[in-house]
Amino acid sequence: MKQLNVYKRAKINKTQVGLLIAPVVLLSFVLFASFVIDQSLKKGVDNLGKRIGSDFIIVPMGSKKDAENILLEGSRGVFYFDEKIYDEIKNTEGVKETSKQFFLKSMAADCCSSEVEIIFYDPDTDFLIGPWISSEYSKEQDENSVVIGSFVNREDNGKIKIFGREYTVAAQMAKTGTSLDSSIYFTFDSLDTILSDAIEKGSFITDEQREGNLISSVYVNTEDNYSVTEVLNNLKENVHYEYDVIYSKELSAKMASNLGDIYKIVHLASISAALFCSVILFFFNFTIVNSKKTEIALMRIIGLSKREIIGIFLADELFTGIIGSVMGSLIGALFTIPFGDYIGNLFEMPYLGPNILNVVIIILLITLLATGIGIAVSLYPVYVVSTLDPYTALRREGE
Amino acid sequence: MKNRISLSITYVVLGVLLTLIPTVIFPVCVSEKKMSCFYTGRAEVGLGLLIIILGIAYILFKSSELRAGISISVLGISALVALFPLKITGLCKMSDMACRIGTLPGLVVISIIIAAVSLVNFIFLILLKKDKSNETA
Repeated sequence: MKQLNVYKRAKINKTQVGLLIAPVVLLSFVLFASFVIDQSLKKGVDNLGKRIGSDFIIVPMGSKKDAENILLEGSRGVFYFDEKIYDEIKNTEGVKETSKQFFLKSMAADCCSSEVEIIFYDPDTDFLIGPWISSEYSKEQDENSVVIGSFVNREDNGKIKIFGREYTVAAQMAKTGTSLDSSIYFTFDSLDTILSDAIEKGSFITDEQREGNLISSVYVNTEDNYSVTEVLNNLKENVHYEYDVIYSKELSAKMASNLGDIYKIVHLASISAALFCSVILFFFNFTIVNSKKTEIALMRIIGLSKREIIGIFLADELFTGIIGSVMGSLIGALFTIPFGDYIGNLFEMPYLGPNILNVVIIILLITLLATGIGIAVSLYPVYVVSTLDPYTALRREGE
Repeated sequence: MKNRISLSITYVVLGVLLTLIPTVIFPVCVSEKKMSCFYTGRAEVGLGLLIIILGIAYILFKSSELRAGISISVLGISALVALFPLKITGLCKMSDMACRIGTLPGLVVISIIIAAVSLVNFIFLILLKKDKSNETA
């Protein structure tokens, strides 16, 4: 009975539980948030390369910056060259496949309360949009249907209204984490209708756009036995129009280098939090274990071994560690996962948040790590006090 | 007394936060044309003020039944906080609009926090009342 009382007294009380849990909550919150942000930005940038889906993109001379901004920053822009360039590119030696697109900046269309990029493409030659379709509503896309980016919402009747005309949504694309999520894709068959509707609705359409026979970009994939440089040299000889080239790899690399500074901040925050919380935990542990000297001495006197005493304190540490790290991770999830798009916008970077399975894995990892840190910093204080000679400990308490 | 002061302050702070989310922290979209998110923002400010009033009322009542009643009404309001942008008035249709990437998650998170605080407090007050009635019996 006496043994039980001493044991109870040696256990930490509510305030002490709070003192031990708080730093673990903070630690796991920072670790969770920084890990999720770090991974989501990395995934977003990796995805950008895949999303561009071609070896390089040909755009009109002087529009390289605008085109990059459309892909990376979500700005809206229009630039055109003659459609004849498409055939010249297509018939160049070493070119495996090509796909042309036409960009039309939309003034706030009926579907959307903001500007959207309306993109026209050719489904017969397309190799960019098809692979990203996540929900297919109808098999074929015709002039009366559209494919929408993941950020564009359908009406309840499965349609979308643009410049006063309703279009059936044939498919919706998966989230890419880039500005392409808020684009609408039509086939070239709808171009004349859209332009006349836009004029009728008072949208500004340039003379160039009215002329027709224009395209904005050509996506190119090279044959396996040709390098990009070889194909570009062939294009120089074969194409009689002025153009700029956007290299997909260069674009991803540019993004990845921008990530460097963000990574530094995120890593610095998590390392600082880990150090700060470890020091605080060490201090709290030392104070709490020190306040239990009498109980420890009594337990030694009634026959508990040093190992058993250390076990009692480590069990408390394990309990507070697990509870604290799960709480911290859940708070971290509450503040980072719903704000994924906001964080991506803030950094102006592609951002793809984790799925539920990944969140569970991250929580488990952080629980292991934070509990491990908690136990590691408590080992020394627990060991020092448990090795105290019972007589000295009790006499000091008495004094 | 501890519960009355701490929960009253918590409700007032949460109410103030709720009014600030659609106006200052994650403001709804600014446009000449009043969009759905504008009305959602207005409604949220109203709900925030209501929580502030209930928070102030909370400190005035000694009876744990009355305080449990206030907590239940705050719990109901927390559901409305999430339902206004999700169902009742809605938000802009494009998912990359400010109201969707900032205001919506902000409101959902604060509604979860308000719901958790009020529910836990409600359960605490009910258990407290049970303990007291057991003691007197």
